[in-house]
Amino acid sequence: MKFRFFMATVFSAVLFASCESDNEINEIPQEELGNYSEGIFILNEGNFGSGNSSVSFLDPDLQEIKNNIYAEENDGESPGDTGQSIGFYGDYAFIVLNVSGKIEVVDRHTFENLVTIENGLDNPRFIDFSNEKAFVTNWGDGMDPDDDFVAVYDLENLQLEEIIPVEEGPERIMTVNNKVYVAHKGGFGFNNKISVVDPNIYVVEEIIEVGDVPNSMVSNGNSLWVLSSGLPAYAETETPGKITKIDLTTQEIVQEIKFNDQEHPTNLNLDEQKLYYTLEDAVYVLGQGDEALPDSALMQFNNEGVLYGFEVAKDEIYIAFANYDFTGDGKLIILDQAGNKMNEFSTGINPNGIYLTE
Amino acid sequence: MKLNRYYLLFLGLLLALPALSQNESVTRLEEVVLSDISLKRDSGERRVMLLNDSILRENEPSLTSVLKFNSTIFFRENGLGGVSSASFRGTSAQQTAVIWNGININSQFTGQTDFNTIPTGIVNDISIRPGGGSVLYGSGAIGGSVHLNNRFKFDEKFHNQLKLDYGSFETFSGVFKTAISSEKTSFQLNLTHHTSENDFEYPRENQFNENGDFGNTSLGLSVAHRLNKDHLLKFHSNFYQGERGFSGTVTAPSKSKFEDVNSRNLLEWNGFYGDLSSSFKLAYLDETFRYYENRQTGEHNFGRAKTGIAKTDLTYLFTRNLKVTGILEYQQIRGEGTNTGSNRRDIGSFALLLKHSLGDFSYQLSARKEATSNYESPLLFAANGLYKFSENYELRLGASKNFRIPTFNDLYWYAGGNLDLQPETSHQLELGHTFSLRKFKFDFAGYLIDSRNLLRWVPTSSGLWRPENTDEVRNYGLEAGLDWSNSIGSHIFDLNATYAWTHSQNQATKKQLIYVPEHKATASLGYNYKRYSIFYQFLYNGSIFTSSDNNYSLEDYQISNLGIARNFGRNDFMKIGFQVRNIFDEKYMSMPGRPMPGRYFNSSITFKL
Repeated sequence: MKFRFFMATVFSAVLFASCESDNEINEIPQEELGNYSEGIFILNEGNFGSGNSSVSFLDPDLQEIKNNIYAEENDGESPGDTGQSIGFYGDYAFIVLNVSGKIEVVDRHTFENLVTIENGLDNPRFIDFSNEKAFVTNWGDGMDPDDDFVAVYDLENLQLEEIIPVEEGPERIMTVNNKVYVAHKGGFGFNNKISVVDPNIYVVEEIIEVGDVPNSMVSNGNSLWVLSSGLPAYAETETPGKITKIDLTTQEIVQEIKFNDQEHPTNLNLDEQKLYYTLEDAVYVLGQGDEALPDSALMQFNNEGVLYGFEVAKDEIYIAFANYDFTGDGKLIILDQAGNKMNEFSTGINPNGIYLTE
Repeated sequence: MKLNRYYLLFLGLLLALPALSQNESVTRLEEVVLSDISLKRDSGERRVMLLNDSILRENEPSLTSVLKFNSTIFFRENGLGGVSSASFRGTSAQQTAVIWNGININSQFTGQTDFNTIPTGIVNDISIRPGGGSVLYGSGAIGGSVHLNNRFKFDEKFHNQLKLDYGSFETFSGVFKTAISSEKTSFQLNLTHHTSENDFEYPRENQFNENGDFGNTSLGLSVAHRLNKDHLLKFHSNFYQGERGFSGTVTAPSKSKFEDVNSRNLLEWNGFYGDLSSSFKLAYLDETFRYYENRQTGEHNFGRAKTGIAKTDLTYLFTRNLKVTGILEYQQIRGEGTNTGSNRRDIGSFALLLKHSLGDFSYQLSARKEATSNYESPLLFAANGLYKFSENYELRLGASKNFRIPTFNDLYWYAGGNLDLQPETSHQLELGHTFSLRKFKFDFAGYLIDSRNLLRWVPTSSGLWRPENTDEVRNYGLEAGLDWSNSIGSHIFDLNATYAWTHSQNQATKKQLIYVPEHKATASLGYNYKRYSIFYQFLYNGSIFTSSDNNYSLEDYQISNLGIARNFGRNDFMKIGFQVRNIFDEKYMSMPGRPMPGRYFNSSITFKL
């Protein structure tokens, strides 16, 4: 039983550190713990049906990339089909494989596989942690708008603890101030809601209506910003994107910034003062208190590929591109805060997520 | 033809009938027995390979399997029985046309045929015609075309044949064929049924091909009746219903299911008036698919397209050696579907063909122009010549312009469908040689295909996929075919082999296209002695790239099949056979993450009356 091995490692490790969001973990330098203790992970989703997702690792000096680290540490195996996202919790990384319908749990320092979670998953998307529990969004059957859910696992034994039925298309999930926020992008359809889940009693206590197709969220203090891309041109009525700011003490919408018609932004991110997003092939920045959108882009890319992954760190901006036909190796471009290109690397197939663990 | 019955394998028979022998009575006979008269008319100046009934009987009952082992066409299969797409001369599945009794049956939605939805038991023979054929066969006849034919006999006999197969993975196949004819009327009925659990073990132990089960039933009916000396009526009907689980992969489970229901009907009237002959055809095709993401629920999406075709064909024989044909055709397609809405397309076309023989040299010229409201259609043409240097050597030369029109998915897909698409076009050149020496026949051809404005789905900067006319591709390659047969006393030998060397390059990146093997070779050897027969089949498939940057590929593979059979009873009315497929248990894939079966077995019993 793999579970037993996992539990042994769970108990032998300091797991119950109070880290909640994947951006905030790893307060102790842990270089001696493995080859990947310090650096940046890039998840390459691979091709639907081909089972060729992979993980790349960029050294902390941003000089060298190592592709296929999961395969290297796990007998040449790929983590699975269509790597959707990674969640970090303590000494563990949870790789969510959408098409394989599973989560591979690895030692976050060595990337050695510890256990596979399959129970309770159906079209899993994103993961976050709260109260020693893992919360995983699931679309269920893509054609069925009524079977979407959040699966809750006990991190002590990785047993499925609860299935919380939610609105259609739960995508990004984020724990802030002891509440779990779920953005409902819509699975094969469209949605425009944020569910607020009480992680202690597993109940959706509030549903907040935001812009159409909320694709990303960030928070700072008592604020939650949600970026919605709007309904695409092929929907019955096209709608523009929108940034919605929610006050977390009241769960009320306190500000809305609308995009121009036919603008469908994605990839909301933040650093200490600023918000970042991407629109088509360009990166934009605005201040957290700004009332209007920036007039010009920080950086406009041309012919690099499809902008597919985006992450902002204190000093750098990471942008991942998939090839135009989504086969073959993608690339990672690193910009400094002023938008100047610092470096570029070849990644695995279709890089969709960049994970900073400092 | 007692020999015929003994033939286990009789592959790649060349139909290179000398052009000179095509006198009026032969032409008439062809028009009587075959609905795809163009195929026969073409077979002088072009290479057309015939896979006859006995070959079809000895292979697995799907079109994929027959062509995989007996032609240069490469197949990319989503596992055994799954969606199977062809690549002919390095082109895409949408650039290979499948022709049923002269009618193009590629899907209106996808523009291609899934070769695992065509049971071979439903037709009498299959012809493979490499190279462009859009003048005659319309959209998608670029890499080549595969022709499914029902022939009529007027032999005043009653033929019955029942073949039952049972093999590994609970695979059952039954084919029943009956034909009866009088001097005036010919009737044939073909029934096939094929089911399999298809749960073979993956190379990784204890992992199986789950949710890969399939079952299909097909019924074919062909009737011909001579009204009088100069008039003949023909009717072909084919119904197919198939249901398949879409199997998982090595790393992902699947719960999905796909259903196909296709019906095809063709009514034809031939008239012969001295030097003038006419053919009038009415066809009605109906294709339906249903896709269930989760087969446990009823939730599905669907598409259905109904195609009506009226076609008239007039041929005038100016002299014994000069023949001119005009073809006028009108098509109406109505499609509806979850993802494409309801749409209609009307296409009219006119084609003119000339066939001329001058002693050892003969040639054909043809051109076609379509008119439709959706897009501007290019003028298509073909020119083919044959020079017979001697009894042993013939030289063929061909040039053509072909096209592929946007499909209903390309035009009307709810997210990204593009109404501004134009047809993609391709120009091609071909040079072929045929050497015949007693029992040997060797064919060798080189070709060049330049395709432009390819219809490709590409992501826009907002992340939406849309089809566009983009990319230029150049394909060039060599094809070789060898056929040999010999008999010494009661010992009969047959050898057939094909080889293809294929380059297919994106002109912008100069990289080889994905899913095009550079090398493919097939060989089969048959040996008969009295009531015993044995065959050996071999396939080599070179490695294929799976990414356009050519950084990822699948390994090459070799597969061998072996079969033995014995005839029993008076007039050999019964035959019992046993086959081992993939005898060396090769582990291979033609799609990443989708292993094909290792060694497996089949037994068969055939009754003939």
